[in-house]
Amino acid sequence: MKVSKEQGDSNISEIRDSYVRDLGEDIRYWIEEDARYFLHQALSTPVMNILAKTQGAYIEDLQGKKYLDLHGNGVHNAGFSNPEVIRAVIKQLEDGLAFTPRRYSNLPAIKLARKLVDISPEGLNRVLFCPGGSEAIEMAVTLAKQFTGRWKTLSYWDSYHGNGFQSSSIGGEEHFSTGQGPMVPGAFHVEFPNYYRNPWGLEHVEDIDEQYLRQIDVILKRNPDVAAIIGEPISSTPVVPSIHYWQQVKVRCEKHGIFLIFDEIIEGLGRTGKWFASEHYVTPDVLVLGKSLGGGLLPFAGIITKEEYNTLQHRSIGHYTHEKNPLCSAAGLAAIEYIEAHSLAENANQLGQYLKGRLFELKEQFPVIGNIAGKGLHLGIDLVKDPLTKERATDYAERVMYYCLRQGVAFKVIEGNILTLRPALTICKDDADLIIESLENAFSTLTL
Amino acid sequence: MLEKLKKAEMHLKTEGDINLSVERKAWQENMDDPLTTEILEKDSLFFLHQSLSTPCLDVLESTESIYLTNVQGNKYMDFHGNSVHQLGYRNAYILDQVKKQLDILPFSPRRFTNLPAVELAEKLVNLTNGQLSRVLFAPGGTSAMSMALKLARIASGKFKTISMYDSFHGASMDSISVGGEYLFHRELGPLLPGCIHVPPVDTYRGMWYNDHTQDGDLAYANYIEYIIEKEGDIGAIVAETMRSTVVHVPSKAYWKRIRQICDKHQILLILDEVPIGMGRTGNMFAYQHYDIIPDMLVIGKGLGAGIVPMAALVCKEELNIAGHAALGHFTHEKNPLGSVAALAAIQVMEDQNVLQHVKMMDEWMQARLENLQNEHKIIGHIRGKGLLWAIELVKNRETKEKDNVVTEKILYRCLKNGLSMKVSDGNVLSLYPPLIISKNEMEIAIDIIGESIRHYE
Repeated sequence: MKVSKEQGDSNISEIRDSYVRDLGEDIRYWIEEDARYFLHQALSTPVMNILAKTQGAYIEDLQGKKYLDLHGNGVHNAGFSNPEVIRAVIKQLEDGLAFTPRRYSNLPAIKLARKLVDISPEGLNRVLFCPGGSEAIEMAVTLAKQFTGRWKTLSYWDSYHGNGFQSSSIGGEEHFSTGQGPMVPGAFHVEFPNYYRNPWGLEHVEDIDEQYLRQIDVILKRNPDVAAIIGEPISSTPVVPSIHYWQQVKVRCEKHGIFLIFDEIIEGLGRTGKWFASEHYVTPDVLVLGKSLGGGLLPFAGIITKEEYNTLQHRSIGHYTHEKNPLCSAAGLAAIEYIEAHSLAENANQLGQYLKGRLFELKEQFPVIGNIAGKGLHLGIDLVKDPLTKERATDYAERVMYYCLRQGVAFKVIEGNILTLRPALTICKDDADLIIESLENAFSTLTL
Repeated sequence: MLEKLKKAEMHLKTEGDINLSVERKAWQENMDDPLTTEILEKDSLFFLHQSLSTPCLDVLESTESIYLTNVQGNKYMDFHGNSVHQLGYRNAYILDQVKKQLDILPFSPRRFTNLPAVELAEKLVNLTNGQLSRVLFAPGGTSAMSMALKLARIASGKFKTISMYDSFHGASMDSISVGGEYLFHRELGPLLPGCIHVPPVDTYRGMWYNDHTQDGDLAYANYIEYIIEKEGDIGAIVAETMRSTVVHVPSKAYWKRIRQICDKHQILLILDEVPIGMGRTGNMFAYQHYDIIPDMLVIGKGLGAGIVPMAALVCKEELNIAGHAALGHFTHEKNPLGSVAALAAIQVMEDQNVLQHVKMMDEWMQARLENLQNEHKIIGHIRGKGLLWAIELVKNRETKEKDNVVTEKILYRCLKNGLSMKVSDGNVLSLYPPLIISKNEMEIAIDIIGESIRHYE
């Protein structure tokens, strides 16, 4: 069976087997237990290792081996097991309010909502929470559909927005919908800008943008009644679009009365060097958050939108049990305050630039590095067999991944050949150097 | 506009009491605590308004055992709890276990596993006597339902489902689509294709329910086979084992018949026990009353012990066939903190013989509510199982006309007198007490309900 590598490295491969074989007996026992009780699926079970501990930017397996984790499923902006977040959660548990039914409110929920309104771009001032990012995407789309009275959506091929049928329909990966029958109707897709691999062989950013914008225009000409355009401001690969691109998308949204929804589940809360990636571009109608909003401990997600859309009090936008969860709110607030107090967005900006500089040095040395892209601590390395043909170095990328893993640096490979580097925003320069050192060793040791 | 909504759409109040009614307005106006008002105004300022949450009823300061305490220090017995409060709030053992885990491993990226996640999976499998042997976690019941629907598509190769009108399975487009409430369907454009709905068992108002025979709900099951034969290509039947909120408890014959139909037509049976699993009905899982085994079981809410959002899909071994696909690509798939909370909750249930207590309370509730019904003509019907009960209020027992107005008044009077519960379908008082409630506490709660009924009858 062909296994898609779009969203991450495969959990079924020879290299994976050999990696697991070298782990200790105890770890292999628990990997087998995990494989015995859980449903197997792509990207999780069978799993690659057993974790015993997490701390800051590092995770630790059952044998006590530490890894600098550049993946963390995106929850680790304030670091893993952040002591301030843990303190806030324990205090909330001891204060006696871990949960409130959603017909009641509580102070932690309101304080987190107020904080998000404070730090989010001007004009975004209404909040709604739910347990997971997939559900937050659903709420954003539901809000757009109910408010506009329309039901069509426009989003991007290869994007990932969650795993329910609505978010799978909006997402553009075969992994989540192919062979599964009809999805939610009305989901149009266009390509996300790609300046390195655009199909027209164009080089100037403006020319490339025009081609990608044209794809949107082709659809909107025939379907001006789209409820929402949904995208990540910066793609997960990552591709960093020009300001012009998103400004022009926004112009089209305003012209047709379409909601612009930015999925910042991964990019929000400091990762790209600002509180939100939107701040590099335009303010959306709805901003979707998740992952790190739970402080790296608890599931939590939500949307922030504009006052003018607060008109659906007789409808259900998100009928979720944990809508007012005080424990998750306390964790989220502590994480945001930590990010603020330690200027982690600025740290992401500075170390992101530093890492990028070092990666460009590596690129001079190793032609296998075809492209380096990203913003803040949201970086990607596109590995190619040949810089001219840009043919993806898929097998090589997997070998690099396991090589670095053995050296204590864990990251994820997406689209088969792109190494994605998303460490905790708490890393220091030594951690950044560890990443570079490990990659340099891999590129020096492994041959294509 | 709201008045118009109130009149024209009273029948849409299916999933709970609405937050826009006259009674609600009066409740808000009588709120004479400046601090509460100030906080509620802030809640109203920062959150999107929607039905059943913001604008909120009150502000909570703390929770303990079966009680909620508001910022004024007043207590409510919580007979609602969004169904996460099976073991009450702040169970010392569970809190302790969660706190310990915070210092060990609060989160694990999903490419890695961890001991608590595996131990919980094993425990859940054991609780089904191994008959369901594969587990997958998600942060919420809605997402767990999405996983079940995806797995059903992949396993069956078919995309149609049969589910029940009036049912609720979650708030995402897919779970809304299989759910059977117009309130959630409306104004969202086309839903997920292939979702066919059939009438649910209703032992009080059901048009096909036969009061004169023992298994009077069999027609509902037989109709499902009729639909299967006419429609073809049905991959799965999705249903709540017992209807939550308004509470309908089908007969054993009904579920055995549906299981038989599923086997005959090779259709997967997905049972949603998100609100009613984890002991609510007197068995750990409600299907265990029926001598059947579903192909997939969806649980959530109380699984996270009222502390951590946590849900799960538990299914048969032969459904472990989607290793190449993404069933549930959820960040918190291997959540160690939620797993510890769940393991601790199950431990407490076992140590305190909670299921035995619920079974004992089942008989007591039946008798006690029958007494209440005998005293009050307004009570048209009482029904339930374990500690899941419904009291249906009517203007007239013959016509069964719903008394929505009085029901809502009773709700707010009970709230005032320290009992928080939910109104479903306009005229049903839904009782979801914590399972650890004592007979004395239950007696107090029923007295509060009785007093409110007397006051308005």
